[in-house]
Amino acid sequence: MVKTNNNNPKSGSQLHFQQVSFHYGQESSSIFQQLNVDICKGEFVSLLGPSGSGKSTFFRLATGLENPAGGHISINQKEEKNRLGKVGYMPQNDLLLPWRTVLENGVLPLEIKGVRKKDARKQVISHLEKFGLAGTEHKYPHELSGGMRQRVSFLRAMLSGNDILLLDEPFSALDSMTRFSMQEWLLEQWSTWQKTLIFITHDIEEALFLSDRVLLFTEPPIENKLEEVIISLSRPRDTNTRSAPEFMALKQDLLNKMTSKVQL
Amino acid sequence: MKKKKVNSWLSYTGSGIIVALLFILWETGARLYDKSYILPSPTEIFLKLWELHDILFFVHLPATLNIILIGLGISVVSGVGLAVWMNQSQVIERSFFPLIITSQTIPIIALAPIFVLWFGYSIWSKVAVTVLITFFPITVSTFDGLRSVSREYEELLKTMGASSKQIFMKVKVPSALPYFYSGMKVAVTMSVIGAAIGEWLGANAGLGYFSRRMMTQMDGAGVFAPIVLLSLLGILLFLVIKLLEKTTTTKWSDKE
Ligand SMILES: Nc1ncnc2c1ncn2[C@@H]1O[C@H](COP(=O)(O)OP(=O)(O)OP(=O)(O)O)[C@@H](O)[C@H]1O
Ligand SMILES: [Mg+2]
Repeated sequence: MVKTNNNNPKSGSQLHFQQVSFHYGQESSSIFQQLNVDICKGEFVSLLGPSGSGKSTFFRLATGLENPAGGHISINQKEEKNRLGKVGYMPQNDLLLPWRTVLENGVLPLEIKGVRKKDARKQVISHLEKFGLAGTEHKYPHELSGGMRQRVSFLRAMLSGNDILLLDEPFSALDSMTRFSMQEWLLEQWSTWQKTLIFITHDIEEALFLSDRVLLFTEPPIENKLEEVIISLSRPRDTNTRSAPEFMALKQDLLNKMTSKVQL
Repeated sequence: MKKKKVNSWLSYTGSGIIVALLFILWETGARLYDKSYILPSPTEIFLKLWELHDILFFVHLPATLNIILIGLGISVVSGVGLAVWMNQSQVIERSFFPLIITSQTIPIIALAPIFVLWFGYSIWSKVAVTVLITFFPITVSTFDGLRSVSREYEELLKTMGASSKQIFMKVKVPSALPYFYSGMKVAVTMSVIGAAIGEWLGANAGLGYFSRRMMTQMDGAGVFAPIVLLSLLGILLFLVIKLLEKTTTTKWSDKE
């Protein structure tokens, strides 16, 4: 189902990096060199790698906050020079605006797109229930738990209306119990909304549990392609998946790949 | 909730007692000293206030308030405008910010006579002093507020496809508001001083002018009465700003 990286976007490709090179500023060393990555429609892909390996940089390129020094980035098989507003992004720390209520935070991307206030509010309210946020619409972010804040942030990213959602370590600040339930919740949302999700994490088990495919990031510069591991665990996945023998085997495989990469 | 209210009232009783004690001390001291052209007693001042209330409240208070409001208005418009401009452009920031800071080393009070020279006894000489005194806190605090916005928020909005105008309205303005209001609180209390100084130097109406005229007449209570009004005016303006702040910046700020 998932093919190896190639230079040409395939049909069904949603986000395509073609020969992308990138470095910050003039003097900084290169982070990506002629990198090719292809993410398919509806896929759940995790980016796994040590700190400073360029995962967030990959997101900054995909969202259009940065532009490649060389190569092209295509969205839906069309090269996009200006990607701002075309990819949904959920930042590492929830970044909810503290002076806005849950409802007002959710409305933000719609406001920016010029949706009428009343319609925007309606749309947000219609989602609150499914996001486990019923009754919180008039609360301020500091009145919410960490898990709730992440859900508001996810809702906001969702409402940007884009097919691709980038999540940068969304659960790293949560305790492990909340984290587990948020992971299951996220999978549920993903199957409902049919979005393409790209998910940054430091947690191997999290990457395994969630993804169709894990891309391994190593010390920059990263050249040509990212090592990948296909996660063939059946869906839907639940708590039992975490203790299945296949899960353990994949984890071992992933660990081996990561350590061999780091040593190189 | 109720308990909290009681507590906040209790916290005022301490300062209330101190104020009451000071007044008693003042009253007895003034009576013993018995030279009311030098040290009038509080009761004398309040009697004077009552005696002169017509002219104080309907002639001199409005004159001073007029100067304060015009001065503050000019400071807010130009101060916020300059802060926004400096925020938009590095070149403007680099050229203006040092000037604004060094302008504070100029003894403004010493400049006041020059304004009388330029603008005569019209209200503009007093307005100029008020503007010069209030411009700084408003500009600097607003500028700091605009600068306080974290880049992460700006970038988040950019990824949503926001224009720079939208980023300004939806992120910068709300984050800068609390800073703006703290600058305003300093500015309004100082505006009273500015107006009074301006009026001392040359005016034919206003509380500062009246106080000074009473001084030449050796009327101690008459000097103090408009000063009482001036400080009440300062407190009132401060409360107005606080109220404005409460209504425009929502609950989140005072809970944190
Ligand atoms: N704005 C920037 N300017 C210059 N260098 C940067 C900038 N942002 C990141 N870098 C550098 O680029 C490299 C990759 O950073 P990046 O943030 O992409 O790592 P990451 O994989 O997301 O790490 P983490 O897991 O800690 O979030 C790092 O060496 C970092 O120092
Ligand atoms: Mg990162």
